[in-house]
Amino acid sequence: MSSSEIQTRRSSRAPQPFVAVGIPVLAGCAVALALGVYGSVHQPAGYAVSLAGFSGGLAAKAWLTTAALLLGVVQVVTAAGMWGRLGLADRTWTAPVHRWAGRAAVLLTLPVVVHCLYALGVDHSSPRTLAHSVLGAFFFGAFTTKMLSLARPGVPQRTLPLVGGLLFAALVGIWLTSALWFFTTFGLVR
Amino acid sequence: MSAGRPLLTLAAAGAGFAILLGVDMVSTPAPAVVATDQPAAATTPAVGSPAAPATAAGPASVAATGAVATPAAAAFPPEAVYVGRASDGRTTVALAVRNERAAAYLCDGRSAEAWLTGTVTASTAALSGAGSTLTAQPAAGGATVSFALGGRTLTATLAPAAKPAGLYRARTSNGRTTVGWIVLPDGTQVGIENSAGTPTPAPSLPSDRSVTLDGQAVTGQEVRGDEQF
Repeated sequence: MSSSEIQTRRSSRAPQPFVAVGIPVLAGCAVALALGVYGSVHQPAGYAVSLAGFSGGLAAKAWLTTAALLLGVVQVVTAAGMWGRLGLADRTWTAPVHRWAGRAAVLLTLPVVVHCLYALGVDHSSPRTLAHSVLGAFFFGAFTTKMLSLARPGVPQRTLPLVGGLLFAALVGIWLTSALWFFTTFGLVR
Repeated sequence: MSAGRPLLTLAAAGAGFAILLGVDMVSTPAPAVVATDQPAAATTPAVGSPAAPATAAGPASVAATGAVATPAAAAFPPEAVYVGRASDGRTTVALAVRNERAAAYLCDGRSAEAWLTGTVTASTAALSGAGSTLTAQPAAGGATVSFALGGRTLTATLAPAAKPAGLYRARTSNGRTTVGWIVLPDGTQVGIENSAGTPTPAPSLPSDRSVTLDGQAVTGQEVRGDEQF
């Protein structure tokens, strides 16, 4: 590809930031919708492989979600640092810590979402479970949007903090409607 | 930042999700596919049931989910315990079968419960108690039940319960307070403590099954199917 071609593509993309962000947003919506539809249509198996060392699937999930939430706090702090806040503008560690803490957080949530979707499914029998179902699907949609936005040139600058903030807000909501409920109902059991 | 790394992270997350889901599907003891295929409304036991004038929405929504009939398995095994959630998303069901006797517990974990007992014939278990009726048929890898509870007709597909999953019951010596627990395969407990007719959510059932009711230490007994309540 010649340099003039690249120049043309860049210049044609640059004035259309909403087009650039549209694909990540649509892909995120598709992921959230797919998870919600699967969770609604799939008959809950009432069973899923659990992690060793925990009394049951719910206890394992409560602790994994709590760990992911703590990593989410790390995400907010390092992201603020990367954007020149908190006096961390010239620190070189914020970006790698942000990336790896984010990867670790998503890794922790994977067994949780699989257990939720496969064993339990979307549940609208109470406000708590309904909110949790919606937030869970939204979370992975927002994660998809964030990853795709990072990879796409021409995405407006404010996209990342906005989507990142939504991700963290969803994670807080997910934790409140699951782990907090679990710990207040059953105690701090492992 | 290199444009490839977020995509790699996204792909790895997607792959991890798919692998975990696959592991769950492969290792699930009861096939989840039996879930929707029993003709629900067709087997509803209306005989002597207080739920006969069920609302139109109940059977209709049930019929919508139970589309295709599959031939039921031949008979119940001599001993089995099945658990599962009902079509309303609120009621949990446990059925214990032992030789020709059966016991069942219906419970929403908050305020509605019923203990039922009955008999098992070749391919059907028929139970009644506390104003409720229930029929059950063996199905591939589990059992399908339809029952009437509190004026509603509901269905459920139950999976075999291996310990510690199952049905448990505790009772004070004077019979004033009774607790029922259904433990689902994922460890979730659904139960009600009924004290002189007042139902409240059950206390958590610990692994040694010892609980304190009305200040009295009692043990949750495994319900196996031949009990009388």
